[in-house]
Amino acid sequence: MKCNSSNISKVIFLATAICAVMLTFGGCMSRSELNDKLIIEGIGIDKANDRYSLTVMTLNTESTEEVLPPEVINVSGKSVSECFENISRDTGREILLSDNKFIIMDKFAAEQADEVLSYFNSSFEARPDILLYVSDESTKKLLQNENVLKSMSAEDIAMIGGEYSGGTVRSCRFKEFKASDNSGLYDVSVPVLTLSEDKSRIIPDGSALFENGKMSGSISADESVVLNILSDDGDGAVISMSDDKGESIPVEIVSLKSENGLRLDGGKFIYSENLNMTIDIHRNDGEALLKNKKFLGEIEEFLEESCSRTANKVVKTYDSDILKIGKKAQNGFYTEFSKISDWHEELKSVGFRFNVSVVPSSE
Amino acid sequence: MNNRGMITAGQLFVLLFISRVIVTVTYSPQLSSGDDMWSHLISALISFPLTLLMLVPVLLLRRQNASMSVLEFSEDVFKRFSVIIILFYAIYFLLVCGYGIALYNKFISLGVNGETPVFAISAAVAVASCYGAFKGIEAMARASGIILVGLFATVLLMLCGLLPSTDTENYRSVLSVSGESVYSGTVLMLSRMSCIPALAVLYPIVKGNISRGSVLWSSFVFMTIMLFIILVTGSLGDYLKYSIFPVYQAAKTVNIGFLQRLDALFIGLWTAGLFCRLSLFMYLFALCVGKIFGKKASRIAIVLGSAAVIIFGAVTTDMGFRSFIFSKDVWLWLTITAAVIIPLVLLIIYKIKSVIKGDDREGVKAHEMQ
Amino acid sequence: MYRFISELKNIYGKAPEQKPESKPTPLTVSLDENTERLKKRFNGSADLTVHKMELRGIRFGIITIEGMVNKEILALGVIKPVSEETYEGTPKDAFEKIKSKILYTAEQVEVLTLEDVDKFIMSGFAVIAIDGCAKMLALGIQGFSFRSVSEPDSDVVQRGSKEGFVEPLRINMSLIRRRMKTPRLKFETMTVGSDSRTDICLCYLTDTVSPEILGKLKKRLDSINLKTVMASGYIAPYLEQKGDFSFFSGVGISERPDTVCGKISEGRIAILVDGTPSALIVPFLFVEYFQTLDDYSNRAYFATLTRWLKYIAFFIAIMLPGVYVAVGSFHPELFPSQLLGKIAGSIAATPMPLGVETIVIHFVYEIMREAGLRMPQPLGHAVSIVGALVIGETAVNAGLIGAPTLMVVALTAICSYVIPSLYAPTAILRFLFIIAGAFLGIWGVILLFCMVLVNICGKKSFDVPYTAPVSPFSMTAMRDVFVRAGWKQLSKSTSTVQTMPGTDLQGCESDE
Repeated sequence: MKCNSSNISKVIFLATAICAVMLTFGGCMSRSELNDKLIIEGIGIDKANDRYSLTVMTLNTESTEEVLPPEVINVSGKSVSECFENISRDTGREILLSDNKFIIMDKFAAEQADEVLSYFNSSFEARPDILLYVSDESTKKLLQNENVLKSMSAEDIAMIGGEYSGGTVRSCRFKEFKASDNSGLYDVSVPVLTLSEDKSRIIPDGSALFENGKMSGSISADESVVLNILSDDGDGAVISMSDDKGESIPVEIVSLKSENGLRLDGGKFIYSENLNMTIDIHRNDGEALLKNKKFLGEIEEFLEESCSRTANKVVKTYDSDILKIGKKAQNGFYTEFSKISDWHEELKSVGFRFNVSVVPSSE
Repeated sequence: MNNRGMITAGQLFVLLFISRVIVTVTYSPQLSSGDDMWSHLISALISFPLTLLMLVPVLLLRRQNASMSVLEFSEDVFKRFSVIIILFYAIYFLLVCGYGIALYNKFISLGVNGETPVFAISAAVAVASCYGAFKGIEAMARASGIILVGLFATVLLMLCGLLPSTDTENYRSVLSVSGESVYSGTVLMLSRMSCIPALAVLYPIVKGNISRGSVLWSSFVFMTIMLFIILVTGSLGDYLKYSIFPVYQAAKTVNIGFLQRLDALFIGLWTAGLFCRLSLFMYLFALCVGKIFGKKASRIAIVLGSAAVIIFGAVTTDMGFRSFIFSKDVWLWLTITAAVIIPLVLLIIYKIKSVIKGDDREGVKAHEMQ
Repeated sequence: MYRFISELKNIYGKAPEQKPESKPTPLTVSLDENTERLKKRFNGSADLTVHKMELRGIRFGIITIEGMVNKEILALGVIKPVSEETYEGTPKDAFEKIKSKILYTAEQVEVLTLEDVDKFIMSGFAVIAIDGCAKMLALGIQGFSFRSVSEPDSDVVQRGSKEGFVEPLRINMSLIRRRMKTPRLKFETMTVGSDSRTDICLCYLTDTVSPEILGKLKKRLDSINLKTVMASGYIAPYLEQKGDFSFFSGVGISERPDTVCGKISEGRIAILVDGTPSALIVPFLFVEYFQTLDDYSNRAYFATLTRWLKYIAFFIAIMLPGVYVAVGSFHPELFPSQLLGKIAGSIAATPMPLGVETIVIHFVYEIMREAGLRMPQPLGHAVSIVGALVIGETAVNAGLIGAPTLMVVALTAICSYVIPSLYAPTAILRFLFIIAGAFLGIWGVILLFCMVLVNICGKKSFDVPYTAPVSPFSMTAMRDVFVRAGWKQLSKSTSTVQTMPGTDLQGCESDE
């Protein structure tokens, strides 16, 4: 075959140029192998006296045949970034955050959540769908518990909130937290975690409320359920009512449809929500109770009262606009809204109207 | 440089579509007035008819003589002084390549991973584009058809991933959008219409209905831009408020079942789009140089142009979005000059000369491309 | 570096040697002189047989090459009838009588030059010479041994014919003629190779072929300046466009006469080469790599499925190792969590970085493949055992290589054999993608893919765009590209290769 000399020169020149660039500046000199990286699956952040204590769950790669429990490492430092540097230094491995599934903060860290989580804003590896939690006690105690490590993987811990919690708590991802922080018009709630009674599992126990990126308070598990209902996320939730004898009646919400709206009445915002629920009662006399219209009416009243109480507590006591009233006001009443200087102040004067109608699931 | 033969209008506009859309995915609000994407939805609606207006001089020029590009028209009208116009286009196309690399470098260093060796990647992109330019417009046009399938799959994946999480509450009222942000968004979008000068140089080798193709091209470009804006804003809302590259941030959140964390895949596919863009403009740069200095010089120009682009990218890596490289006003004037003013001036003078001569002039025949 | 490039230029930039123009040597009337000259040309070669006899006053000579003629036909069909006849008149009259009235052979050719005598006797003809006549008669009574028609090794189909081409050109021509019983099918023979003078034959349909493509093909064949042509692969590069460097070939190869007939009916030209059991087909498009005869024998839905399997297998074969290395080295977040742990664990257990490990395993695999092709059959089992044990189990247990990497290589190897004709480019591209992925991650893989794509898209096979009808796109032609439409659809209109989209847009491509 005849070879064109200019083609040969061209090919050689191009090939040399590509190889030279790649070999010299490819960055392979500073690249580390996957096994030299510490693959982080979960992070716990505690704060005490201006110092942070970081507890990380890492993927155990010692065996490729069986799944070993994760390794847990704890370090402390003046900031979250210093803690990560200390982990790198102590273990001799680079941090890999792209597989991280959750971040748990203790209550002190949660009170400065926007500052604590700022490290993950600027990290290229941190994913926006990391799940956020707040811990009742120290995250170090939570994550280093041997029984927990044996029975729960990082994925199990990550799936505690949201649809896996049976409607008890709403999950919160990092992107939702950051959106609320950026917006300044609405807030988020984050599930609170605690150890179960037998100390072998981590379970949800209420929700932490945030205002402007900082934790402002927390509500109980029952109030969390109501908050879920108000956020149209209550499918599968169970509410406890008491009957005349003081016994608990577990009312399960089989399905929920809600319609909410905001109106302006005499310069005051009124938030209203219509909740249509299909319910079931898991008790021996459940069927009979469900056929009792008076009892159904009592459930509706109870729910309306719970919704009102919880909404007022969340919005007015803890200044947490979980229901995104500010967003609705800005979208629906832009001209009036633009005249408001401090929405969180205005929020305290918002009125609530809740209307609940229940239908037994057998119908 | 292999460049014999024609391409169809469909192939050309696919190539131009990819070249334009790829800039959209590296869209950064910091390049305009710093507003979020939602403000620029109205900018897109305004930019669409303005783009159609920008196309008019080029299409009218083509109607005079379809076998003469804007470069040949300038030779015919200005004779020796056409060198200035051809040089202007050459430098413009080279600057477009430089802008593409500079923006891509910013995208990698600020959006993807700050530790990535930006120089190596931009050098690899430039070298690959150099090869694409060498192969010629036919090869690029055909390759772009296949790359379009990949880009379409990417957009579809993003649509499927982001649509379920769309919240209508994230769409702010139109009243909340300021006139200044609409204006600056419009300026940004129009300044990126470098495909119109490309069309002005390429239409002699295109077979097919260019007018219809141009309208379809600009429609699809702005539909894609608006789709991105609506999708990204609806699904992520305020999360993107201070994000430097919102489309990429949105891509990071795409999860469809077991398909998670696909942003690396998106980056790869977008790099293919950048390859198309740089190859096209590098080829156009070489075409302009070849017009002045001859065919052999055009081949050398590709290599030198790539080297210049790599150096340009390296030098501008540390420059901020407010530097002159990214100035939308500078780019607007450059683009309007290349896309509207020069073709319009040529058209008017050509028409006047035709009227004076009193007959249809054939002018300088289209220089056969090698 | 510069001197290296200059030396390469000197080597490859030399002007081709000018062939001295040789005038043909006409035969003389003297039998002895002709035979002496012939013996001198063959330098007394032992296989040249000259049998002289005198019959009824006329001297005859029969010239053959030992082992090339059918001796029975020579004795009964040539020597016997010639010797039983009487001859009157001049030797020329005797020659005419032998030629037109006496011999029982079907194929007879008059020969006027010594060069033609060489050619015919070395093609298995027997040549009769008469003293006093400056002409000789070549008789087609070949009797050399050749392999019988059997199923081709590499072009295997499930439901098609089991006949494949063999080495002799004439038999291959007959295999094609039997399947295309139309007078429009034309065979044109030519000779290539200054020493080997190998016969080649162009086969095409006169009303379907493009005259431009045919003319271009003949021009390129005429430009072949090889001394010997031992296989069709020798001339294939000459049929490519000049200056066209690509991993993929613009010349198709087939060992099956039925496939060749199908290609010819689409306006393509088949080139049969004497001594090679395969045919070259031009023009050849990229999508044809993924089309086999079985696609047309099976049901349309199944044929479409197998075609998609081929496309997917091709991409896996070239890109999977590179993507694996890129993702494992630079973008581990793409792996699901459980897989990430396993891969990290396997990398931890091995001494080499992922990219190097992948390249090493591929090299070992290529060595084993080559050994498997060349070695004697009795040793086949030993190599299988060594390969399975050494690479499969022992190396993984010893921690030299990781199980995920081995899995990737195994899958890649299997996918490579889905399209055997693409193995060569696949093997090379695989290595390039691994290197690109190891150095630049997903960017390197995608950029290399773009470069390969542009390389393929810029290629033309006799002015037909190589990537037609995918790009330039043709909806009509899609019925036999990504899907195999039913026969009702396929038979609606017959498209030829020269009507592929984009062909009409070509300028007149010169071969300079």
